[in-house]
Amino acid sequence: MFQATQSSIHSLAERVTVPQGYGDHKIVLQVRDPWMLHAYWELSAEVIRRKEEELKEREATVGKWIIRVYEEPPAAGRIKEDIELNQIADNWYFQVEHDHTYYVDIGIISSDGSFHSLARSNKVKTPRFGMSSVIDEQWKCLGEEYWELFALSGGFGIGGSSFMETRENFLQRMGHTP
Amino acid sequence: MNSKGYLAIVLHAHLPYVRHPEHEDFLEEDWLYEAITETYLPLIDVFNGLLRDNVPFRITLSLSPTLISMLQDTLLQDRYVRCLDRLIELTDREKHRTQSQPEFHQLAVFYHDRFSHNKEVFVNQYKKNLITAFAQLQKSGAVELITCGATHGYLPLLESYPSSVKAQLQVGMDCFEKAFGFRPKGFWLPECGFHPAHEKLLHEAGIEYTFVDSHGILFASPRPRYGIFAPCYTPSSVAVFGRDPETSRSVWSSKEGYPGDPAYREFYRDIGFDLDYDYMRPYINGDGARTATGVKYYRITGETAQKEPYQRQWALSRAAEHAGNFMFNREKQIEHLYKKMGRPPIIVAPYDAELLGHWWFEGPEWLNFLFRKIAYDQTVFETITPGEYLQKFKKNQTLMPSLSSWGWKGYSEVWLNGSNDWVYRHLHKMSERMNSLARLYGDAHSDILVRRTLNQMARELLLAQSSDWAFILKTGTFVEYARRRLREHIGRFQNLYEQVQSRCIDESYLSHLESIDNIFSDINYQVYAA
Repeated sequence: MFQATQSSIHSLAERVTVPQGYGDHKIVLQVRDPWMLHAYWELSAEVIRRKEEELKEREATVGKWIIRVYEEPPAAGRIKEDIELNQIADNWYFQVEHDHTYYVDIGIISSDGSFHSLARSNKVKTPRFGMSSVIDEQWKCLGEEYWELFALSGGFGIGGSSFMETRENFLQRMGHTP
Repeated sequence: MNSKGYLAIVLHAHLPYVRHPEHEDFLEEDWLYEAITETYLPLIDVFNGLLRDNVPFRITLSLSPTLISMLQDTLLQDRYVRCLDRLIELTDREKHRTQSQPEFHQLAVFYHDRFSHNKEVFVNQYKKNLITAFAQLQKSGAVELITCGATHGYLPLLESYPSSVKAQLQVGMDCFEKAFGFRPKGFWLPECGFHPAHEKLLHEAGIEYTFVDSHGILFASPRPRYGIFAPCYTPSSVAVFGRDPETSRSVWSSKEGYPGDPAYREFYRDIGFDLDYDYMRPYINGDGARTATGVKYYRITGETAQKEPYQRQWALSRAAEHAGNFMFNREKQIEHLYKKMGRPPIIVAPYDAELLGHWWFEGPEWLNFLFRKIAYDQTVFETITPGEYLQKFKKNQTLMPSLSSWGWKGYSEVWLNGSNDWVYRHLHKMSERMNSLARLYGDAHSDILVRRTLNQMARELLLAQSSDWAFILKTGTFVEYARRRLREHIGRFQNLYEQVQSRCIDESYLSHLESIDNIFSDINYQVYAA
């Protein structure tokens, strides 16, 4: 079933390239931080062509490309916003709220004003930035106590640690730049 | 000793897998050689000295699977000896050249003795394999070895690909077990990157404890009773320790921290750049570009270009003072917390191991002074490993830590921004394909060529996932090298994928890849079938 072949190592090694695409039709959502999501996508030219034909049959055209952002809470499927895309983009960052669930559609607003989804993303949840309101009775920690330990735990400097600055210095030093 | 609390120092030793048999000299391989010379061997010396003198101490040392693999690699071991030989020869010449300059001559002698000692320890004592050294330290009971993700993949950005997360955990643990003969209790999450979706996978991989940044605990739910000063259990019973930012700052920060002291060695002034080119030519990079040698004659001095000669004894006395200051601050911190909490707090102080020695040259000596002072100059606290702490204090709160990392701003921005976001569509696709192929070609599949190909694809995927590449793209140093590595691993995976799909495998190409990207020799692609 599987054949072993003997092509030139070097000629094949020279063909090591990063694929331009994978022939997929999808949009993927990932969390960067509590306030920012990143979406990337690859859309099938064939699917887009069919959509354009469908619009044409209805005497409409592509108005604009958008990402439609759905947010929960307050309610499942609530549209948070539409983000207009430029034509050449294949990924986008957009602001969101912490402690919320999101998914997006990428699609077209046609010239007649209707929305046509071309692909829907996975769901993601942004982390809560702040104290949990859930209290474990056995490990009760009231607000005042929490904030005191929060301060002692360095909570007011979250994310501002000097770690990255130092690590960058370190890397530059590894680069031996005199 | 009736301690009011505990200090757990955790050193995370990691370098990306860099091995280029196709080149006689390769600049980025120096990362390993410099780290062995300036960090790993000095730390091993410090720990052995403490054991020799019966100083009670505890430290946790995380060894990444890529580092473990490089330390075991005979090509890299031999190249390191060659590197040491060059340094010994260079410093021998320096001893002669500096005869009329006593302040530099004594430093040339210092470096010559140091490199000669390194060679003696590396070659004769440990037979070129530092895994032996670390295994002996573990046996002493003072050092607790743990590991991390197979290639230091940043896990929060693999949220939708649990099979890839599982592989990073499992292959990492397997690599450690193969090297040391036991599975570690602890696991360092690469970049402290925790995602709640992964806590069950940590448990399934047999991990008993791990670490998160402070806000991973502070923003956990339910609300943590003791902040970061007591471990918590995740719902799957993995213990989680929170990083203490106060202890971090004093060592990490170039502004507020100890390493910026004027007495300490200046990193940038290296004779590789300072001395005559023709004189240095035999000791610098094969392509003729000037590189650092590790021989540095100046101290930080201050914010001036006019640097003064390094004075070793002065630097060591400052390291002792800084150790005293660090200990004093911990005494005060622990006494205060003990009163507040009503139970002994644990302060978890994790550092990149390579910062001690390589970046902060006197770091290993600082650690040496620190452990000795803690043992004899105070009675407030003891050092401990997380494993020991959990034995002493079994009852801890259960909660779900929050998504977090120790990166800038505390989340994933360092590894996901305009400079490196293009990587993820490839890493995700490779994960998806690896998972599909592992399911398609079940364990019983008998075709050895297919198995070899799928195993190599797993290696290429893992190597592409190193968080180091995204980090380098962000910071802008060594960018070409990071791009090259990503292009190679993504491209090689793609080539092999196409061969599997077309059912036509080029065996010579496969053998070539197995010889150059040779990490995790006994990997089983079935780890991706989950």
